[in-house]
Amino acid sequence: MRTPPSPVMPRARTRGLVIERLADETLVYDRRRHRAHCLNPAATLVWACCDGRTTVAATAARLERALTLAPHETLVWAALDQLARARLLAEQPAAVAVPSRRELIRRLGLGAAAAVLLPVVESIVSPTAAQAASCFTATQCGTLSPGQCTGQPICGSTTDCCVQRGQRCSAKKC
Amino acid sequence: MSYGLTLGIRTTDPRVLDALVRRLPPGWTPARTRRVERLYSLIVGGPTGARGIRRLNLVYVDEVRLARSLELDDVLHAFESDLALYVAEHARGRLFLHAGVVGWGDRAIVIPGASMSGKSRLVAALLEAGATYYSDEYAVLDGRGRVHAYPRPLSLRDGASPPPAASTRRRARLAPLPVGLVVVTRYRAGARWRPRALSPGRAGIEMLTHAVAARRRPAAALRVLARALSSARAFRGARGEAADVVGAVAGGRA
Repeated sequence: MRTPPSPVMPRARTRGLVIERLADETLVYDRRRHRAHCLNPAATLVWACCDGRTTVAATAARLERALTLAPHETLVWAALDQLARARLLAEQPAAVAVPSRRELIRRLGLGAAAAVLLPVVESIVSPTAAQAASCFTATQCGTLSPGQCTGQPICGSTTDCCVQRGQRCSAKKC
Repeated sequence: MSYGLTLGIRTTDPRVLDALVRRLPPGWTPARTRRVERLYSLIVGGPTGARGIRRLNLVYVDEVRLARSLELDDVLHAFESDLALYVAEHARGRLFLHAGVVGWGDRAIVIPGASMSGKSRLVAALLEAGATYYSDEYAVLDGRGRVHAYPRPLSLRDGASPPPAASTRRRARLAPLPVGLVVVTRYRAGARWRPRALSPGRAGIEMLTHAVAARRRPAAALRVLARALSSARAFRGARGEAADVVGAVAGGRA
């Protein structure tokens, strides 16, 4: 009896992304969604294999060689699941039930030290310039839209911050 | 001129010029051209001839009103914060991060953090331990990932006096420093300093969170951060008293 062929990896998305390698990790900035992602070494390796040709089994084997992780296809599916959630794939991966991280650690018998090798995609929403401001005047605070007032201090005040009140931003005690 | 940007400032009352100049970003120089990319106009108010009636102070950026107030200080604050943010976002060849920075030996310690996270207090404590003051507002990174000074006077929110080392007067020009240590922390009363090491990638994400031009120039931001972090260590954790962190930094334990 022949074993079914291993599924092929989906293609990675490249359009609208800024990609910067940092040692064995990858930083990715999504210009469309203004989200930044950090791919750890395992996720970086899996993403590099997302070319529409490499098989999942071959990717698992590469993970084993590069990171001395058990050659488990579940690891690859877990990485693909995270990459898809981060919208870093041009195609949706096959629908495969992916265990939770805790379950994965248990199934693979990993200790705490080895668990850091599991694929992780960490994401943030990039701040607007206003969100990175060090302070606002009370007048400026009043002109912000609700999502922009995140407790920045009011310039010259030692007690007041710019916070959301209902559908407006206004200065009040921090 | 400030960080490659040509900015214009005009006022109806020359007596406020000194106050305006004090609020310009560090390192500004007079421009030789009359063409500017952004023009601030300050219209000074005050008492009118009519009894009990005062004119408002107004500040405009180009043709848009930025602030109006009976208090001159309010509009000066609006001018200062808008100008600082504009320069931070549009500076040519520099990436501005909201962060405190001190020099420690031949390296910089960068403390990225939101307002009210306690970074000025930590900067002050590091200065008392012998660090050199670079900034408590912005880390200014060049294309090689080195940190330049942005020496605005250190301001502590509880009104405490900053240490003498924070003085920005008569200071020799500070050399840019490579980043040696990144400390991502937030003050939490009673917390013990037990930081976790961050990988360069995760440190990069943390720093990007505080980069003013992250949306405008993401490619440059990532490139500069990658260079800045190429030989830096990074840690993250809540801190209690600033002295705990200073002790760890001074002892080489971060």
